[in-house]
Amino acid sequence: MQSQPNYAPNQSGAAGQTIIECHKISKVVKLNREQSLTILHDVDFQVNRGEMVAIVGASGSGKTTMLGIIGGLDVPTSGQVMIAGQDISKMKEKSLAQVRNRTIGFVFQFFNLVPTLSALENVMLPIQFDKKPQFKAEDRAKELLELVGLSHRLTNKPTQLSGGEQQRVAIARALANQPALLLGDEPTGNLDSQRSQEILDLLTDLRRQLGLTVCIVTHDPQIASRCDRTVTMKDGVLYQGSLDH
Amino acid sequence: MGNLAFYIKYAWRSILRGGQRSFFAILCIAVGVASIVALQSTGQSIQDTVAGDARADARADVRVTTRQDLFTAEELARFDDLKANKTIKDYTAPVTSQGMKVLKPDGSNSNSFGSFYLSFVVDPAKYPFYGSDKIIFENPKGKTLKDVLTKPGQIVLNSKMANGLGAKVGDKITKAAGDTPAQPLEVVGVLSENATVPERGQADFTGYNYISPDTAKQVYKPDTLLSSDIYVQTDSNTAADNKARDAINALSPAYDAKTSTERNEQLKQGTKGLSDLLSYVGLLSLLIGSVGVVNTMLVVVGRRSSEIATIKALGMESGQTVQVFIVEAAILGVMGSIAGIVLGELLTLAIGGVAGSFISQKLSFQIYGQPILIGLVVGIVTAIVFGLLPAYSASRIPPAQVLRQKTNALPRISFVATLLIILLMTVVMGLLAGVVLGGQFSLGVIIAFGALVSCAILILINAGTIWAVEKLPLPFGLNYKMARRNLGRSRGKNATTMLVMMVGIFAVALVFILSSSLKETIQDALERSFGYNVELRPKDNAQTQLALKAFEDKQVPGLQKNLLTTTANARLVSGGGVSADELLIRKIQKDKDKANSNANQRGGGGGADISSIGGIDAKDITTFTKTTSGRYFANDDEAVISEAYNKDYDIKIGDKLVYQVLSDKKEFSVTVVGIVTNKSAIVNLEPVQVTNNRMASITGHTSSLLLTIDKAQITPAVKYLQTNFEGAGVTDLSFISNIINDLIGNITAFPVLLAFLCLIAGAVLIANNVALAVLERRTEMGVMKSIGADRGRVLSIINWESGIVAFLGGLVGLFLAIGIASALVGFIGTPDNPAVLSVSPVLSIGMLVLAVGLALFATIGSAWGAAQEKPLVVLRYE
Repeated sequence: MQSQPNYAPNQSGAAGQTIIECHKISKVVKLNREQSLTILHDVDFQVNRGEMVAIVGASGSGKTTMLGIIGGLDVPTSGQVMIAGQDISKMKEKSLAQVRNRTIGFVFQFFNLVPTLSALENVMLPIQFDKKPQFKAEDRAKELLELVGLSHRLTNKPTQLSGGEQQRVAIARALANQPALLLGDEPTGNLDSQRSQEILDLLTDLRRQLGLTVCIVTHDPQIASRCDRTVTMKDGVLYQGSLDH
Repeated sequence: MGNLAFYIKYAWRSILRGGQRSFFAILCIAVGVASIVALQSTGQSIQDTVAGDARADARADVRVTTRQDLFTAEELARFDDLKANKTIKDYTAPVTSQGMKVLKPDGSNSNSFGSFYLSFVVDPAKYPFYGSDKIIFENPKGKTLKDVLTKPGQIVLNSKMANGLGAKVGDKITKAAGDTPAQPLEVVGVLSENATVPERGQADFTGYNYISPDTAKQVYKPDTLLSSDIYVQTDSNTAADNKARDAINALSPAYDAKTSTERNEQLKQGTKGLSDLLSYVGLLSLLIGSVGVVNTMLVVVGRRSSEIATIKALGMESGQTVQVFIVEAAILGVMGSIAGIVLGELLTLAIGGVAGSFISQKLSFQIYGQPILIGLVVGIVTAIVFGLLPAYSASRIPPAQVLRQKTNALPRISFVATLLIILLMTVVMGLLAGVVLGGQFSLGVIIAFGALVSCAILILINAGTIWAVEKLPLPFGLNYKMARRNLGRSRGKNATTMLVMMVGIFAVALVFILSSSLKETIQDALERSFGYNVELRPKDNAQTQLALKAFEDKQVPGLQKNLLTTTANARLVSGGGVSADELLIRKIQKDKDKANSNANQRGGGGGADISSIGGIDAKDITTFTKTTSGRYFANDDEAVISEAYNKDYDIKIGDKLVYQVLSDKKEFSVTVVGIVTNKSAIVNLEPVQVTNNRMASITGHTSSLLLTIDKAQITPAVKYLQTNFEGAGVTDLSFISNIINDLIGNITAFPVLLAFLCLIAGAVLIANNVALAVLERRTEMGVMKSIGADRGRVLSIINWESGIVAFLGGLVGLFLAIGIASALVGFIGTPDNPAVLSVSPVLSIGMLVLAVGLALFATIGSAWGAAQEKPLVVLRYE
């Protein structure tokens, strides 16, 4: 019997149904000695396992800051952030790096592939960063690139790939360590409509196929409409559903 | 004008916004300017110190030397005549004695030079005519030689000798037995460390003392106390000096009188080469700093390409864009120059000590206006000139770029435009170099073009090396692999960084390799052709014969070989039927014909001394020389001469040399039968060699028996000689290698320091490049962190990058240094004593460790900052 590749999400630390649980998080940044700016105001936000949620909002509403905090790229000024059962709001840098490596996968607007590495090497990177790798990096990367339809582009550098292809590589890289949560920051923001459609199809397919939880920051109403649920950020406050402007 | 104010305001804001980038650009200029200011100030300080107050430095108005080596009593009487007819006011004839051996009270060696010190025999009533304030007394304070040397048996020690002996004023020290019996001397004064030595050279190493002529008669054989230098006092004005000089020179062609002003000029000329060298090193540092300015400006322009496109979209013309960036470069230049001048003055203070020991004098710190002015002009102009290329790039950014996604890429500028700008930059830099080199503009431009071509070739080679390393998968893990790949992204910049590291390591390694090769070559030559480690100076002929018998009978422990040489104070009367004076005139004319600036110097600017004659046995002379024509001497009436003697005085085979012995005025003659050349560049025999028998028949001759003793047996051998040859001087000569090592160490310390300056300039450039690279790659660092890389990994990748570039630069620099050193070392060898190229593995590894260590040190700040980069940066697109 041929063994099937394992794409299922990392279940480590998964205690219950909720995978993202933000409790009263706020983020204040100092502008100068006297002034400070509150970007997030006591935000409560939950996402259940397997859900696909869109965070929408105008520029400067705080949605990117929110995504950064959920993804362990930034820490809140106050409040608690639980990701897959782990409180990441007070974690040390080393543990946080491990969470980003194993539990979370990122897809960015500008793809952010490492320009000196080939598609295959880019996808291998998170596994190579893992202190105790769970996969054989090259085999796993090849499987994932095949999954995103790029098995013929393994040795190409990012500059030799189209925007859509680069984003596919980025998605494969995000899935490398079988994360429980995939975070997207305007993942189609830098693509034409046809490529956007393809990437969106790929994300929804992968989510269904792998049982992924997906959380996407977007301006695009079409993406929002394909998500299970939409939340809206406005002036640092989170509202359920989409708001009429 | 209104525009300029706007440009300045705009540029100033940009510099402030630039933060770390601006800081590094300023630092790059500052390092270059600091080197120029420090090295030019040091050069001036050296010139001022070496050639300060002419009369005080000369300690007289006119100084006279003789091409006959020593002045006889009859000759001194001629100066009495000059004094009587008021051509000169007074004169004195100090004697630089043979070494004085003084052991510590417990009998142990008091210095590492066989306990030998130099004695200056001076008449305290007259010496020195000027500059007595340079003979500074530590104890008793404020006194002069005249105050303390009041009766025979007294001695004034310099601080080195006093420290070596542990002696203080009032102590009795004992001059060890040698040519004369042991003699107690009372220490009546100790000089300060700041006292100036009368004659630079041996006295700097060993230490020295002053004694009066009466004391000298007690401690030295009287016939060895002849002066080689007469100090003359006049009415202390130029006319009187010149009159005295001309009158003295007219006395004999052997005399070479020089006024203190002429001496001073000669000394200045002597240090000019050193000052020029310092200027070249300063230029090199500036060039390195300038590369930093170009790199920084290119990154600054690149990062602001959208902004530039925006302001062009708003109507700014290309020419105005160039002006804005030129103004920005100029402001960076002004700030860098001011910082550089402050740094430079501090550096002058720091290197003063080493520079001082290079010329064996203490340099006093002084702020000179000219280097500061040059530093300021050079710094600003360099910044502007090197800002040209980036400014031009900025002007080519199309305004349409404002509509596109943000990019750091600069538009390609045409090959012709680039070439023209580079040519313009080179010419301006050449002219600047001309300013630094004291107005030698054409030389400056030649140097600038030479540097451009060499840099271009080396950068190409380096880029190739980096390309090869990029393709070289070594099992050093992921961080190495990523660093290796990153190198290729800015191959040109890395090749430049590599070049800078290469130049630094090349310079340091070259000086080290040359100095150690020189030491080894000299030691090798000493061992091979000399190799004598103990000297016995018998008190008379009978003792010499006894000693030779003892050697033959193998009575001296560990004796391997021995050599007898003899010398005597004799003076050539005529050669080949021509008088000595006539021969000297011939040589002076020849030197003048050579248009050599050294003409008319003592001994004719090198060459063979006319009266020097030595004795050696026929069996031994073949060890040191080989004949180029004729044959070796076969009896006591024959002589061989050196090639130089033959050329200088036209003395040929068959010519008769007539000598007069200085002590008893008896004459003797020898016939030249052969011309010889030295086998070794290190061991030089006298220009005229006769048999030992011939020399032994001369009254007042001195014999020297050089022995090679098995190293383990030196102590018993010395003991045996001391016991069995009473009254003879016995010296362990192992200290000769100490003198050589000290001398080479002293000479090389300063060049090493200068080479290190280049290396430091290189390190600053590396720091700059890494900082810029890190700033350019902030998002990438964020990406890596967002997918799980921790601080350690980011730090490690950046360190690998710098480390690889520095290692490669160091490696190429080291190989280059070895190659050039092996070519240069060839010059110090002869076919019989080939030069030794000394490259120790410790030095090689040390150089590479130094390169990598310095690069990592320079990187650590930026790398640490990058490692701390918040991963959130990945979500921010500006």
